[in-house]
Order: sequence, then structure tokens, then C-alpha cells
Amino acid sequence: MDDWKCMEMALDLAMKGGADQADVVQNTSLSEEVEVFEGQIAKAESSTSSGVGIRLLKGGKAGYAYTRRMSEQSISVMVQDALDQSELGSELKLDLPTQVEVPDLDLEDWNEGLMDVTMGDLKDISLEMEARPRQEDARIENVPHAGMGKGASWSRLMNHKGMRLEERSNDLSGYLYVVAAEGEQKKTGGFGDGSRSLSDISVDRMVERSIQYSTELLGARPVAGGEHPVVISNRISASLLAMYFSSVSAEMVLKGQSRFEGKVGEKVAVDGLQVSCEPLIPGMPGSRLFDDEGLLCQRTPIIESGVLKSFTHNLETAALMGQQPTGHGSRGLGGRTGIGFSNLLVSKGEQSLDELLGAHSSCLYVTKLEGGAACSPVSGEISIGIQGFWVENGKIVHPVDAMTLSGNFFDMIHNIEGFSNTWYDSFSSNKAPDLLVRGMALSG
Amino acid sequence: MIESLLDHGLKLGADFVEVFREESRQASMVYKDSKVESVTAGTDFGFGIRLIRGSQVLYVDSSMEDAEHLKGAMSSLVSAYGWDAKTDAFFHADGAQNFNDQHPVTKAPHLVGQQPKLEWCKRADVAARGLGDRIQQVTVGATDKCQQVLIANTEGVWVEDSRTRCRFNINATAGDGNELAMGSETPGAMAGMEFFENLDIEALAISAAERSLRMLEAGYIDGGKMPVVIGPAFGGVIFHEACGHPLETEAHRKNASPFVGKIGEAIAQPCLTAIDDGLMAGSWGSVNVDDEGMPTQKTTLIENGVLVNLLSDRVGAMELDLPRTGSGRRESYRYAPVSRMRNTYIAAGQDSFDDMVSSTGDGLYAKVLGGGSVNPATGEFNFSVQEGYRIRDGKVAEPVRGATLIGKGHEIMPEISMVGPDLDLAAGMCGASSGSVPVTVGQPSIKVDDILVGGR
Repeated sequence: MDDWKCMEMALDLAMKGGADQADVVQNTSLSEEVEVFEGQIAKAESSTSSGVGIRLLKGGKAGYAYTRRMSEQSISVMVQDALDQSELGSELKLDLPTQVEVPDLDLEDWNEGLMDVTMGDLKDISLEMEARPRQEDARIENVPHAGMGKGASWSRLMNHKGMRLEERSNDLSGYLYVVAAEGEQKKTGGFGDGSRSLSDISVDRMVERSIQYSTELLGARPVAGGEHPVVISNRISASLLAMYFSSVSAEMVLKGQSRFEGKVGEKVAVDGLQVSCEPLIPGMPGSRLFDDEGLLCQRTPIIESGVLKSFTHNLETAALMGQQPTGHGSRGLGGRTGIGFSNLLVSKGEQSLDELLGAHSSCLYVTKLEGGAACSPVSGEISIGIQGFWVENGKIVHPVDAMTLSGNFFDMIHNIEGFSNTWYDSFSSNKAPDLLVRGMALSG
Repeated sequence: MIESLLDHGLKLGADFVEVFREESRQASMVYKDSKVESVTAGTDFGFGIRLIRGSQVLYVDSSMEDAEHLKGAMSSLVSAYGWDAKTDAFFHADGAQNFNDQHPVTKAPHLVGQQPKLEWCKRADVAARGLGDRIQQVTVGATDKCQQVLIANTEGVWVEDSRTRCRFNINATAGDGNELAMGSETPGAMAGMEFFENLDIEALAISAAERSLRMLEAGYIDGGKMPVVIGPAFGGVIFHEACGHPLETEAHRKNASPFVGKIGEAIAQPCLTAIDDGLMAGSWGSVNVDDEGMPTQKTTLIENGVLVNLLSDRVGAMELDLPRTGSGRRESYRYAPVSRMRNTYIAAGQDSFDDMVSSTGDGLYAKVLGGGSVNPATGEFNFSVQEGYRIRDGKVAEPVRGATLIGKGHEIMPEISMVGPDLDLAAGMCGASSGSVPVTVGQPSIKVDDILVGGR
């Protein structure tokens, strides 16, 4: 049975079973990966996965189910499961949308040429990249993780109002992680790259970065604890900010778990902080034309000049809060529709990284985060292991490790003194510049 | 079909071929805001086929039950690596092996359905909210999963196993208008729905909610190096991350562990014995057979301070010339198995909790740990303390929040100087290269003489 037919069958069974509304998602993905170790292929993998999931409302109550077995019998079981679950579900205020007209915009999320990249190509690149760090720097004693992968996925959405949408994307990924040693000390460093073109995967860059990021930390030692100005490298600032900006999700707000609750229109950060969701930028991995409920995606300003502008919504949260949905519905095969970012961008400033590092007589330049279990987007608590460099008068004095950085995110964004003029050049849907933050607590 | 896949793999030139067929059914309820947030059920299904030649591992996984598609994927993967075909090789199954089911299920979840979960979730919600208005949010989850597997290989293994696990989660968020703090309890077992019936739901809910309130009132700790007493049960996550992972052959085969070459050497004080036991009846991290079809076992890792064993899967055992320990595990058919932990704990000792605290002077009592992470290659770890107290003048004093424990596993092990008798276990999920698998961590109260505590 083809995928659309499976979806039609599920919708048909749901409506015949008494559902008032229903939508069905289907996903198929293919991937090939190779990992090498000491000049040999250590692992090669080929993966094919397909599945279908349903959300239905019966008597206003929601039920969810999924199956990865694409047979008529499994789909019948799935629909019956969802109908059964709806008996236990809570009322859901939802009016599923009708078909939208998708703009004719190429997000560059599919490159037909990638489908011709072979396992042999992935193997050759991996072997070259794995061999070079030890050849180029005698301090590299081990290359435990090196490999390349290729992936493609197709997603489809259908609802009882006749909506039918389909999208696809593919990409290549590569990673190289090395261990550098000097005396008793060992440091790891690595770089993961991604692209939609084989020619954009730079072995040189992965090799250079992994050597740099591991060896630059050799000789690290803690500095005296206390309050210090901190420059958070753009290597890590985007992922750190994205973790806490989940607080702008209307879902978190409705659950009483967002410190941004009730603050739309209020100043929540320094003037220089500009944050937005930008789903329509060609070539970025988080770009998409429509969300997982079939609503068109659009640019959403989150913070402008330090003022909170908007929460991110799906259909359900928008209905509950009396707002317009913002096209941030995010959904796997099973379970409730959540809220996800599609490219979260923090605007660049005008200063260079060197200017930020030299802004105070001394500062800690943090380039690596370790763990994050004590970080909570709910409370805003930051307590995280860090590595980086001690900087005096704009010059790096020595690498630093075995320290923790702590504070509260919602205070920190009031204390950002500077934004650099560069984003990290990785294949990522979150982008932020280097940040200079005054007075964060360090212990070690 | 299974036989033909094994046969095809041999003909392609593999020394060893294994097929892992899985059909899993899971159902969960999430209860939040004093109402059902979602109820869902689903079926996962697929095949994982592993071909090994020398130390090369090729892996095909697919959710499609189509022998020709699977054989095609095997052939195309092998063709990229130039294996010599062995056209005269063939496979014939000798028949299935049986084993005793150590974890019998009384009430199969698919026969019971999700209706009873609603009552259990409501009871937890009411109990937690009963502690007052400062409990702002309560989330309760009840999940069951039954995984049916068939594991067959060209060495004659042919086993079928059914693994039913249930888990109850309760998270309480306390708030006072400015700050928010959380507490949680997350028990789990390898058992059917009888697991939920036997829980003291109100006690768990109150424990989580009380912790969130205590942490809301807590101040921040000043960080620095200090002695730390770590409480029982989930405190064992520190051993799991900082010592357990680096004792998996998956880390050793890549020389990415600080414990490489240390078998037979003292890596801790004589008070420390640590065990990874797959056999514990009904325990969340137990298995009957591992995901390579081998009956599991109890493996002593550290005996009186001396490293005596690693946790081995097939490839790790082969490369390092060690015995297999029934530790090959994977999340699902989508992952090739590697050596993983099961129920891992520090064995009970004889030191009293009072002696640990009084000998500490000034330090930290990390009563309940949160999550953490480790870099297995360097041993560097980082853990959060969910419930912590200062120790002042040898006595447990005020609660503190935001503390983290930081160090290197191989440097911290010799710092464990006292081990109590109060061994307890806690359920968790462990993520690594073969996916997320259920594990139990555990320990009695222990004292670490010197560790870096991160705070404010």
C-alpha cells in the first residue's frame, strides 16, 4: 500500500469510527552512515524507516496513536487505539485548517545530487579525515569518532478537511572528534559539519577545528573562583540560548513553567538583544514552509530591543490563549503536537570577538560546556561545567578547566554588555554571536 | 525469512550474521494541570541485521517486512567494502533455545488498557497539590512498553524474549512568584501493570513535592573543593557515568577510557566493590538475554578496590580477548548492540551515615542527584544535585540549590573513603551509541573526600 493510501485509510477509519476531526502524519526516512577507526571501517549502517501517526478528536476529546508497521491490519489497530485513547483524553479546543496555498519558494532543502553520493564516497572522506589529525599534530593520540552520513526524509500530512501537504529534505553530515594528550592531561575536541552539497563538506576545516579545539585546552587549570566578566563563545552561545528560549513557547506559558509569562510588551533583556524565528531562510537546516499542522510558517519576532514581542504557538495554544497560531506546531508520529523553533536567530552586534575579550582588564572566555543537567529553562538556573581561557587585557593567558559557571538566565540577559559580529559557521538551525556578560559566578 | 537473511549474509562474505526482529507496543498517559494532557499508544516494528567480518561491522535496519528489500540493502552495503563473496556458504537453523523467564508478568498491559492509569495519576496529583498553593504544577506520567524480540545468528543462537517494563513519573514544580524549583520521583520495573498497583503513589508524590518546596527555600551554595556525602539510590548515577561507561568494552576498543590496561590494578580504596547485575528479578535494568541473545549474568566490576572485569559485547570481547558478559544492549532494531550497563551499583559497606557526616566537617550532603554527563575518553564528568544540604561542623545544615559535582572518574574513585550499608536502587534511562536503554543505578551512602562542587 502506498503512503498516501495508508493515510487515506486511517482517516477514513477514524471518521467512520465517530471522530469529529482527524489528521494523519506519515514519515519515511533513509540514511547511510560510515564510521572509521584506525584506518579501517569500524561500522557502516543503512537504515530505512517508515511510519504513520494519527491525532483524532471524538466528542471534542483527543486521542493519539502511531504504527511503524505499514500493513492494513496495523493501521486498523492504530485507529482503534486512537479512538480508545480519546475516551480518556481531555477536551481539546481545535479547528483543523483547510488546505493552504504554499508559497513557491525554494528553501534549498533538497539536492537531488546527494542521492548519488555512495557509501564508497562516505568511506573515502571518513578515512582521509581520520588519518590526518595524527599526521598533522603529534599531540593527537587517538581519533575515537570519525564518520560521515547521508540522510533523506519525506513527510506527509493529511486531514479530514482535504489538506494534503508533502515536503522532503536531505543532507550530508560529518564528524571528527580527537583526543589530544600532553603529560597526564587529555583533552577532547571535535567538529561536526553538515551540508546539502558534497563539495561544501570541508575535510580541512574538520581536521583543523578538531586539532585546534583539543590542543588549545592542554595545560588547562582552574582560576580563582568569584565574579568575573565572561565571554561566551559563539561555538556554544546559540545552543545555550536556545535551551532557555524554550520559555517563549506558549505551551510552557500555559503550564505555568515560563518566567516570560505575562511579560509580552515588557523589557526582559538589554536593548541590544534581538531574537527571532526565521523559517524561510534558504539553506538553513530548520527552514520550512509549513508546520506539522499544515499552517504556513512565517518570521516571528521574539525579542526586539530587549522587549518580549511574542510567544510561539501551535493551533492548540493559540486557541487557548486567544492568539493567532504562529506556525510552530511540531509533531512526531506519536503523541501530542508540541511547539518547536524553525531557525532561532540572535542578531549579531558590531564588535569583534577581540574587542569583547579586551573590554575588561580580565575575563573568562568560555568555549566548551559540559553537562547541562543542572540547567533549567523553567527556573532559569544555569550551573554548568565549562572549559575555556583566562584572558587579561585582551590576551589569552592560559586555558581553563574544572570550573562551573552559574547564574540565572533571566538575569543574564539583562547583563549582556556586548554582541560580536560573527555567528559560528556550523550547519545549525540556531545562531548567536559571541556574548560578553558582566559578572557571572565561577567556581573551581 | 530469518533463515534466508542469515544465509544471504554469509554468502555475501560475512563471518557472522545476526538478525534482530522486534515488535514493541507502548502506551503512555501524561497528566498535567490536573487533567489528562495526552494519551497515546503505538507500535514499533522492524529488523536489524548485523554482518561482521574481522572487526568490521555492517548494519542494516528497516521497518519494512520485505526479505528482498532487506537483502538488497545488505548487498548494497557490502558492495561498498569489497568483501569476497562466499557462494558456497549456507545457513541452517538448529532450533530455538529456551531459558527461564526471570521476570514473569502478572498483568499484561495490553490486556489491562490505560483506564486504570487515570486514577493513579489523579491520586498523585491530589497528593502533591495537597502540600499547598506553592505547588504550582504537577506532571504525572505512566508508561508501559512490551518489547517482543527474536534474535538469531549464524552461530546457532535462536531466542525469543518478551520484555515488559512500566514506569511512573511524578514531577512537582514549586514557585513563589519569583523563583521556581522542581522535584521528581521516577520509579520503574521490569514488570506488568501490577507494578503501578504496588506503588505507594501518595508517598512518591509527597516526596517529589516536598523536595521542590525545600529547594525553593534553599539558598545557593558557594562552590569550591570540599568533601561530599552522596546519598543512596540515584546517587549511583555518578558511578554509572564516571566509572561504568569507561568500563564498557565499547570505550576500551577505541582506547577512549582512562581505565585502559588497568584490569588487576587497584583503582579505588578497599571499601569499594561495584557490580553490574543483569539478573535481578523484576528490576528495571534487568534482561533475560541480552540483545545479542546471550543469557545475561552478574558481573563484578571492582572488588575491594581492584578492577576485575569490563562489560563486554561480542565485538568488544573479540577485539580485547575478554569473555562476553551478556551486556550487549540496544534501544531497538534501529541500533547495533554495544556493551552497556544493566543494574549497576556500589555494594553495601559498613560505615554509618552519622560517621560520614561527622568526619566531613564542612562540606556538602548531596542527598539526591539529578542527571549528568561524562566524556568517556577523558573521564570528565558533571552532575547536578537535585536535593542538597550544607554540612557544617559535622552536622547536616541548611538546604542548598544549584550545586553541581565536577571531576574525572578515575581521579574521584580513590577519593571514596566510606561506604554505608543502606544500598538502594533507582531507575533511569541511559543514552549511548546503541540508543537509550533502561538501566538501574544504585549505591549506599558514600563519602567522597575531595570533589569540586560548582555553585554560585
